[in-house]
Amino acid sequence: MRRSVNILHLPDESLFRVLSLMNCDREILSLCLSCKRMARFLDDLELWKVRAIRRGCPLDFKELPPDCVKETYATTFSPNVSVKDWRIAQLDGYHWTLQNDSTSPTGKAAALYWTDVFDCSATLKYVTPGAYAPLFHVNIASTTGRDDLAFAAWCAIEEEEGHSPVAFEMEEGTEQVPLPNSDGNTGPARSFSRLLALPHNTACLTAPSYFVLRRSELFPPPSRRWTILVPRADSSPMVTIPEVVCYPDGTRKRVRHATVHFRVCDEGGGERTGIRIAGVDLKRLDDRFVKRAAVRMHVERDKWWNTVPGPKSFRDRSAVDGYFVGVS
Amino acid sequence: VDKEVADRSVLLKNMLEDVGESDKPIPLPNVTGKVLKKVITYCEHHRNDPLPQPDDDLDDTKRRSDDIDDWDADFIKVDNDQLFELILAANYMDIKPLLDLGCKTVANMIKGKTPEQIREMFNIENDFTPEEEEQIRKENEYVSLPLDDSMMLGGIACLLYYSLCIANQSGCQHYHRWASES
Repeated sequence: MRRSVNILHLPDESLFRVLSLMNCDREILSLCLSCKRMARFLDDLELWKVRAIRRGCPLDFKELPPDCVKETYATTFSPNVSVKDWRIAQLDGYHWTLQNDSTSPTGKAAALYWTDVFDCSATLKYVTPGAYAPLFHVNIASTTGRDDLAFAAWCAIEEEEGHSPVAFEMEEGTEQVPLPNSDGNTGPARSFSRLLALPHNTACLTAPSYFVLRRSELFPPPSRRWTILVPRADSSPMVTIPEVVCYPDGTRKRVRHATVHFRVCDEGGGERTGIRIAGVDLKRLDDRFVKRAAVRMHVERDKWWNTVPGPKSFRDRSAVDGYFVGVS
Repeated sequence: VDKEVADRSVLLKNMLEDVGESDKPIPLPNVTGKVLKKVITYCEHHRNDPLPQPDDDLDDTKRRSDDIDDWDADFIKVDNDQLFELILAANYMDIKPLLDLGCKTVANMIKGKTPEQIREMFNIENDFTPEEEEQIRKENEYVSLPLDDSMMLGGIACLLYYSLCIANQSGCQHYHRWASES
């Protein structure tokens, strides 16, 4: 009778190889949760060292003491940013204060008393390709404000990650690219570059995930409840990090990871009070959602391209196709 | 088999170097005839490829599970038994590219699967108690959400949006509150 061979017949070194080849940590966890023998690999420090190197982390995991490896990996690649790591304009104890808060999902809360410069931002590095939903943890209580409050998240690929920002100059410097507005339509009112405020030598490759809280929505009954705000699926793309970047000259380059930027800002700059922020999470979406997001972005991108001035090569559809996960 | 083909296997290469030119057969007790035939087909096709370097293991372009060329993808379309036998043979005969191909294929099969689906696919017995499984999930939360939760998020994001639309057709919210509390 023929012997049946399954995955558990493989020696540990082959199983290690399978795990090290997986594209995301989530898949590693799924396999390791299948049985006790596989679960042992979760404590294999070598696996996390290899993963860190593959994810392009500049930290030298090989030099770390063994008891720090998993913790450092977890901190480096954590998919959330607590508000304590945000950049907040006027965080001076008078306008904004940073507090410990046991009810906050992150244990911290930045509480706003009063400001006329509402501008909060955060970054998350080493995010692997895929589609993600940004989840903003906020508490809107007794808020006053003259203008809408904008929430945005987008991915940027930086020069240090081996990509040439020169190729993206067109996009980086583009003014008045219409973003979807809160009615689900695109409109020319919002300036892409103003909102995203891209630092030098970065390139934003895919449409930003974006939504606004209208002034009329900023007057809920007073509450201490933390709320998760996510962009509405039909009017804004999710944060999408492409697997491959297609340069205008036709060359294609794989993306190992990107930096995701988050920003919450007042669209008009009036006085505002009564908001608390706990942080932001980036939740990976499943493959079906990635494909849908990619298709939607593809369509939106087409709309954008008709309004974007610039050289034909950059407006070429074939160059655009390579930008999106699931569409190549 | 040509020496050039046999040299794709580090095991055979070393053996041939040790024994020198000889017509004597080399025993490979851990590999069945059927699998060996398949291994030879692979080595013949890749006879002119550059030999793998030690640093290749950390070269991301060579270490992605979705980076498989068409011939290899077609070659590795075999049932699970044969796939694992090929991996075992590649490991025993020390043929790194074939070992990687097999491991990449397994990694691809796991993509998007829950632990339960993986057990079913590979016929793995669940030897965890529910408490043990939960404990491991908790201890490893940082490696991102387990797939089933993540899929749920995608589903909820869409479903909740649509339910809001239906419930509030006169003026959809410009955002949705995904949950009442974090």
